[in-house]
Amino acid sequence: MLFLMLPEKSRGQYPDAELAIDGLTCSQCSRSVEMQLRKLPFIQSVTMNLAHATCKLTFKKEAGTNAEAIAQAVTDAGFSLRYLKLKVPTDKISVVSDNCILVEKDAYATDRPPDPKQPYNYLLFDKKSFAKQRVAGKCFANRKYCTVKVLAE
Amino acid sequence: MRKVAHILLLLVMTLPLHAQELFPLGEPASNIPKGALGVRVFSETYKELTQIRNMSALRLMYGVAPKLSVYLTGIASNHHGRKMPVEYPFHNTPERGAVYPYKFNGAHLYGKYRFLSNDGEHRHLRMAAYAEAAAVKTTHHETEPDLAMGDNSGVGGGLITTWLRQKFAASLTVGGILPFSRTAPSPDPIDGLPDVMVRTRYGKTLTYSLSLGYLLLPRSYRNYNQANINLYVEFRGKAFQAAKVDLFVGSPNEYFLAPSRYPGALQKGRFLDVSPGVQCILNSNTRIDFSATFASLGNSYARLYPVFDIGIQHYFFFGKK
Repeated sequence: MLFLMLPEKSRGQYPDAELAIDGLTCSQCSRSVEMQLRKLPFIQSVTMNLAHATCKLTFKKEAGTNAEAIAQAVTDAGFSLRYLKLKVPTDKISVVSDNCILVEKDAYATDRPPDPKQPYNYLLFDKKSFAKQRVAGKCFANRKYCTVKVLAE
Repeated sequence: MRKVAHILLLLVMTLPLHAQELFPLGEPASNIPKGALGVRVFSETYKELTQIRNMSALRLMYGVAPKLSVYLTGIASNHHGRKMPVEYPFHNTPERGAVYPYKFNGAHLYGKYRFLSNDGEHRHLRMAAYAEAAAVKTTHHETEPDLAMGDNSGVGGGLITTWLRQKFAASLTVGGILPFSRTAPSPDPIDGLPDVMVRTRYGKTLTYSLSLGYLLLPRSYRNYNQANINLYVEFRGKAFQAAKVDLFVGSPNEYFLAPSRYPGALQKGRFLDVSPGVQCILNSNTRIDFSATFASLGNSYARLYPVFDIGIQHYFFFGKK
């Protein structure tokens, strides 16, 4: 499980993402979520799977991608995030330490390093990913655009 | 008809999992999406002897925040005269079959805050608190108050618990109404004498409802254009205090009329109505509701059964690309 540390918007490095939503029970509910997602400026397309309460997102190449904004759009629609899976080209990932990676300007605290043999790796956010988190100071030392978050006990 | 509604309830409860919480008459614990504007036009009709009583309303609903929704409703009806009935409350209370003008009653404000969300895949358990207030100018002559239908001015509030799994939804609402008193003239039965000013303090009321819904169609979702057909059974009721009536208000001979002299419509009471309904949702947005209300346990003096309700609702989303 990878945990989010997202101090800044990414610069269009995610080809697509899969989003799963909890609490959805009808097509009107799904439509509400899609409408909130489409308001985000970096979203290129939203394809809902009504039967499984999931959707596929594609992003505009030159716009920043903000995972936290995607999760907030689901909340604004009145539902909950089950998971968000961002697809990242492996060559865009910099390994800082065993539990810290950078994807361009975004830093993430992780439980395992990415697999360098795969062309893509996936960042998986769950309901707890956007809670305040404390990350070991060394991972983000001298990175003025990183934000240290408080870990949940 | 009461038996049919009870049978329908049993059928709904034994059907395999599956429903909707967009109840025609009740409110679920869920909210309107943030920034969305909902518009609802709804109407209630019943026959009262030779008269057709109708209440119609326009409701604007707005998602202020993910957990907070507010509604503003303007209400018009021909439920009330400009004055209380002649010799109120001794006779003609309620005044059945009288010709009343169709007029604007006033406005109702409602706010709902969802404080509990336990969401899973195709299921959720939610709780919300609501508060409401109404400001209307009516001559309501039953102790049973109603804020949403424009019978009374007053305030109210309560709790909503909604459980939904797959296609089946159940929602329990418990609340209260604190109606404001109303002073209005009642014509004196003797010609030439001035109207008698009468103050009615309506009964404090406990409200309760259980709404059940089932998604009949589609059997599986493929796209937004599929029509949704939902079936509902709603049980709604009130338990209310007796009214308190003062006569000759503002004059030296003002006096409080003992409740033992009130007609049944001003005495304390309680009832539980049953409302089967059907709903169609088009293009995953436009919603059309039909329901009919029948007495189940006890009955309301404020309406005559059956009461027919129809509603049409649509959401507008702003800022979409």
